[in-house]
Amino acid sequence: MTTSVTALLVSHDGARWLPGVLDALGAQTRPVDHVVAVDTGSTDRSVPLLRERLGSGPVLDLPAKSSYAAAVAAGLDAVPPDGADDWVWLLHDDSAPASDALEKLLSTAGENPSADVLGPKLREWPSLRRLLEVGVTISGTGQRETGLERGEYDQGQHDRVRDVLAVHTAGMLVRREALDRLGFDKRLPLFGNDIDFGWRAARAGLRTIVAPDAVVFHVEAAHRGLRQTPLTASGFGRGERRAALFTLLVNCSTLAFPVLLVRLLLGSLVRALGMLLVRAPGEALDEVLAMAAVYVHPLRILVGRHRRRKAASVPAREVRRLLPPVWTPYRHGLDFVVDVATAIGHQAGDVTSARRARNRAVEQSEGIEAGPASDEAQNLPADSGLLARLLRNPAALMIGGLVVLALVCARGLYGGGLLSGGALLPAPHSSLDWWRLYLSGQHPVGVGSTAPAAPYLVPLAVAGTILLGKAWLVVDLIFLMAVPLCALGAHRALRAMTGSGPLSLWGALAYGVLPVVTGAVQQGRLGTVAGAIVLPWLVRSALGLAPDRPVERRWRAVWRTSLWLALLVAFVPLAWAIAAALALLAVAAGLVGDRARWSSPSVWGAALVPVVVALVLLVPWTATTWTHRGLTSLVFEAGLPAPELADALTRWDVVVGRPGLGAPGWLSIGIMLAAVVALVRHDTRPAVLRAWLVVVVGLAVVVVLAPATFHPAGDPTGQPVWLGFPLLLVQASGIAAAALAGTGARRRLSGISFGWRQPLGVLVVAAAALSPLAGLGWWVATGSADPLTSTRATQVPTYMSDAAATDPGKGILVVRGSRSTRFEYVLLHGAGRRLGEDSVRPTASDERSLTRLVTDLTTGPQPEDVRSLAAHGVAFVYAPAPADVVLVGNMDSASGVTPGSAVHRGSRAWQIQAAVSGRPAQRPSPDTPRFWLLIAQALAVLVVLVLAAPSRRIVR
Amino acid sequence: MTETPARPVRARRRATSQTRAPRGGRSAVLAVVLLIVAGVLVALTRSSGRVDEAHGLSTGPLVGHAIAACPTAGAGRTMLGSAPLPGDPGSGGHVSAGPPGSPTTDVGLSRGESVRLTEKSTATRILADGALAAGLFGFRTERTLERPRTRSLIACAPPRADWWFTGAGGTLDHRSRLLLVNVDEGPAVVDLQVLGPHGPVDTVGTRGITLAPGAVKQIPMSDIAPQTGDLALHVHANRGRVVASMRDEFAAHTAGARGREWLPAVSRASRVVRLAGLPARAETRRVLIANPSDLEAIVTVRVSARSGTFSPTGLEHVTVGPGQLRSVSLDPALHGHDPTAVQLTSRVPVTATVRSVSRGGDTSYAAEVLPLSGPAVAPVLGKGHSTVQISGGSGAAASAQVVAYDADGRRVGGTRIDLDPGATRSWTADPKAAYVVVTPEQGRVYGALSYRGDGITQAPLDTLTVRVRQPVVEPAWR
Repeated sequence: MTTSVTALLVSHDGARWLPGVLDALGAQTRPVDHVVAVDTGSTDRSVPLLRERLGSGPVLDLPAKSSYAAAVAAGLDAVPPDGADDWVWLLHDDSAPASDALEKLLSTAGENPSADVLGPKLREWPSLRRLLEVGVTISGTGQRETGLERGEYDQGQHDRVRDVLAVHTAGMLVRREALDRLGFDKRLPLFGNDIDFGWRAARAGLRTIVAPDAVVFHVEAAHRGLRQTPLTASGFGRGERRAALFTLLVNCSTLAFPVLLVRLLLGSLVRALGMLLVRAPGEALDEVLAMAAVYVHPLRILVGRHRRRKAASVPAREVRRLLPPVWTPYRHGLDFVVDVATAIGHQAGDVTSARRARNRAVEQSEGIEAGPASDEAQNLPADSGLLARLLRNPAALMIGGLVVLALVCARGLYGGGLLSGGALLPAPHSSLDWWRLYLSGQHPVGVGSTAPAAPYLVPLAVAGTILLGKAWLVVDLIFLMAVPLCALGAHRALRAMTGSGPLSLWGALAYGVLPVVTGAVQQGRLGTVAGAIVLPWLVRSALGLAPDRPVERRWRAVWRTSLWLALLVAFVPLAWAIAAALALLAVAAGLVGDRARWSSPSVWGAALVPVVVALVLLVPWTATTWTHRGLTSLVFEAGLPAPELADALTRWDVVVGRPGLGAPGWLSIGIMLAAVVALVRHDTRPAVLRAWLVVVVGLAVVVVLAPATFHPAGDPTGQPVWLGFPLLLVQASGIAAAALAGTGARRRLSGISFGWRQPLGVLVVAAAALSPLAGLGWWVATGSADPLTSTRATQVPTYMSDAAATDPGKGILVVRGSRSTRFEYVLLHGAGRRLGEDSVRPTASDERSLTRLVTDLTTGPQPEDVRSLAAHGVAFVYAPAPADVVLVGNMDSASGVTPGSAVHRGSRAWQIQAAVSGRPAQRPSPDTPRFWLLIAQALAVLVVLVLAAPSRRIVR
Repeated sequence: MTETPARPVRARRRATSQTRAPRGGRSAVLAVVLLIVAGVLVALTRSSGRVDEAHGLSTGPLVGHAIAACPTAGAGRTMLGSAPLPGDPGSGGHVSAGPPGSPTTDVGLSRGESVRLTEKSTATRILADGALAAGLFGFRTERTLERPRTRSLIACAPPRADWWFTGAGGTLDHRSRLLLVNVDEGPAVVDLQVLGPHGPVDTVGTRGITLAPGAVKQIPMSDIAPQTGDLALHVHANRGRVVASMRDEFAAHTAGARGREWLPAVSRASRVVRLAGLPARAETRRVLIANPSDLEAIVTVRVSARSGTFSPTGLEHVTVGPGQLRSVSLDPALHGHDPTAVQLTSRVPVTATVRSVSRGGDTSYAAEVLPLSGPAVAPVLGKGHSTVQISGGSGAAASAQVVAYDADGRRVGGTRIDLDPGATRSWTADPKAAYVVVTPEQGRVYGALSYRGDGITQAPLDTLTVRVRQPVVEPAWR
């Protein structure tokens, strides 16, 4: 019986490789008997080349959209069967067989007469040594499994003839009869048809083996994206994935089908999410679209399954051994995660090295010499470890020193309990409480509230979760480490702004002490302190919005700025108004100054988009807060309003940035003096003017808000607003202006003839340099405490808070004050209100009935008042010392009330005898579906995170 | 080496932006403009200042509930009435009375009427609901017909935590008895503190006196401070509230006839004490001043008479040691038959009274009163002179309207009293009247009703409880 081999070459725009392929075909030690070439609408020289080289052999020219299956079918039609032992050798225009490839294939076929399909060992062309495939199979998640490491070199380690599920169509030697019978599925136009063919062949009782002695070199042009065809227009990744999903669903066993249907659906979503997390949005989109493309055509899948069932002669379990183990995808997943982590580590290392190299270059360019280095020192490796680097880095030394000072200044705040006092409520038990408060639409606070929780709970909860749920640690870090944290951010921002090391250090120190010299830390102003920590990072990312940056980097900066702005606005909503005003001013100034450049949407859009996106990122709050709090949502920052902590704002306070309780104002005068003098220097003036624009906007906000009073949570008493953040912003801008103008000031002053500028410059520099040092000294002397304190976070006797803890329905009504002044009350469901609960405090109108009841208690309570108290969920009434005598008499004389024990002298407690209602009054659900808004927020954050991250280049 | 390494990217960028900078002149103008704007903004800064919280009491709705008690043992009459009020709140609701701790019985009462109660228990509890609770008043009067003929008078009072009595005694010639009534539904725990001429008196068993709901307790002062002629007593309820009254019998001469009276009570010591209700004619008058503080009190005494106020010679300053009670005779200062009031001023809070003894041997104690902020009621006692004495605050002229009503609420007389600054004037009511209503019209007005007939007595003019005085109540943040 003679063996006849027909080489079937399919080409599409492969003129680059065709000569090599045809040469290899011609050089076969066992020549092919027939050659048929099928071209699918090449636009290059492929067809003439084929005609020229093949001469007598048929060259078919099919339309461009023809699938691989159609091309093979057309090729087979052109060459009639030649006999019983008739083989077809499939070749691609980018796959060149080794000269003995066919010979080895046929020899293996001879040794394995039961084999119907044979595949060569595929090696990479042109590196020639890297293995691509030695047989292939498919995992349960649709992953193409070759069993090889990426880039594995061929050292004969896989040279073993074995049964496989499928072999690649490039170099596949298949019996003509089998190919005629099964054919390729036209539903798989380009990718995945080899696995599908192998799977169907296995089900049809045919045997597929790999013949590793035969070698074919393959470019994988379509897979690597080197070749664009009409069939790959929607993307290679998507095409491959769609083919894999389709192959799995049509070929799997009946039992596995429903499971696989669900698994692939969920798996695709998880993969898409994972790809988003590793910042590959394009791949994630491909994944989802591929899945959708398969799942929207259930009929195709069913028809495919029906056809395969009819063609099958072997049970599905026979094929199982050719499929990889079930855990294979998970092992790959783990490998992937490890790879990503390693890559990130390497990237970070690269970035650091690059930065160091750049800094060295700067130092050398500025002519800074470290003095003569000894031979010994020169022989040391340049990079002598993290510790040595830190010790040599002045910024690290400064931050380290500030951390030590912060620990010293926190004296009196250790060990006493939770940080609270002033405008700060104690932290909750765990960060879970913050999550619960944020995610829930109803809050058991006071008489029950449906107010939307403030957005700052999210960063707090995330930080708390990272710190293993320790909410108190988050608050402690924010307040006690505010100075080093602010200095760190300011140093990075100023370094990017000025490029000068000494000025960045000065500015970082000056900015770092702002939270303490303004009194924000001592007053427990969470919003201002957290805002001060976030602000420098926002500024740093906003520097990237400049129109002279490349578009891609500018838009990454847009998303990064949006994230930082959203974080800042979460703590200080007023910052949004300031940012919006600055963005509009920047666009207006840009249009006036350089209309041609600024009229481009990518330039003005970069300035305006963060302002809008920040609102979207905070969406449940931005959408629903207006119905609850109205304008006060925008002006009151995180924490209690606590207006009693600050005196009336004077003009001097505004100039030196003292919203209340801070250091003496003259300590900061040096900075504002330097900021004013900074305007004199004309070469840095444009940048200084931008800083001054921020000063003016900050002052404008102060001027508008200082005389106004607001009614947070509908309080009847109007309250002035704490203006810590705008004043801090003014100071920060002053520091930035001074630092910008100070860059290279020494060189400049020494370069001009002596006059009035030198003495003035020296005076201003001295005042500006001493200012932060004086602030630091004041901070060390006075510390971070008062009214910030560290106490046991309970306002009520323990037995009450214990009872409330076991049954949240047992509320504790705490009534403070006296008839001659005023009474204040709070309904607690635990030891006291915790940080975050202030944002969902019921409005005064919600608590009106309880207010009326407390009024009755202070005038003349009746039995029905006591019953009404129980209906409001009040189980205990507590009057801290000094308890008002009239209230005490009223409560003592009221029926249905029994005196309880009060721990402190002068305080009084009572227990309501009537059964309490069991739970705090539940208010009807808010109309806005908070759940969907939360989902929208999560998606928005995810999308912006992905957009803000450096894009990942896909390497195959 | 002349070649310099490449400048870093940022430095290049800065350089680029600087070359694109506006020309020096334009940027200088901008700098000046920004500086001026900043300066103007600083100059425009106006602060709302500290938070302007509401403080103090405000007038609320009409009182809807009232509770009070009077001592009702012995021979005497208890009068209960409902004063006519501006705007006439009507006669809705109901008033009931009965012994403390027992169910009360309804008292048929309409607006303007006064009725006599027939209670014979040690004390009577009075409850009112609805409109009648506003302007409700009650008095207990007693008299003895044997020599010396005495009259005594006490107003029914609502329960409270603190009571001060000045002028009690624990000797044979001066014996006082404290009556404590718990009208509430919870127990009351009471502490007693006694001040004597030599400072705080050590007492036994005066702390933690417990009164069950509805309980009445009588404590003779001789039991807790025996052999002390002049005492001041502070009743303080640590828990619950009580109605306290002090029955006093005083003989001006050793083993002489004892006049009878209830001591007037105040809730706290004050820096300014206005004593009203001094009888126009008396044999002796002594001012008794108690100083419960830890500091010495230097008390300035001024007398308000028909023509104005004056400082009595020799009594300009009375010094009272810490914790002491001091008794000073007013006889040299008060002579003649003019209606008078006494005003004491001190840097530390004091309590005081003026004990007057009539020629017939009856006693009367001037009560501490406050300037009236609304209508006040005093009973008119038959067979004698019931004189309304009104004093005006110093510094401004004052006036008050006095109207007398009979038991059916019909007006039987009245007048308008105009007062020079600091002066005291009087008006005697028709004996047919049952009570008088004094309504301040202008300036500060305070006073009392003084009775002279079968003995002497007085009733202070206290502003009626008509509307609820509400404190400011607001929800707190923490």
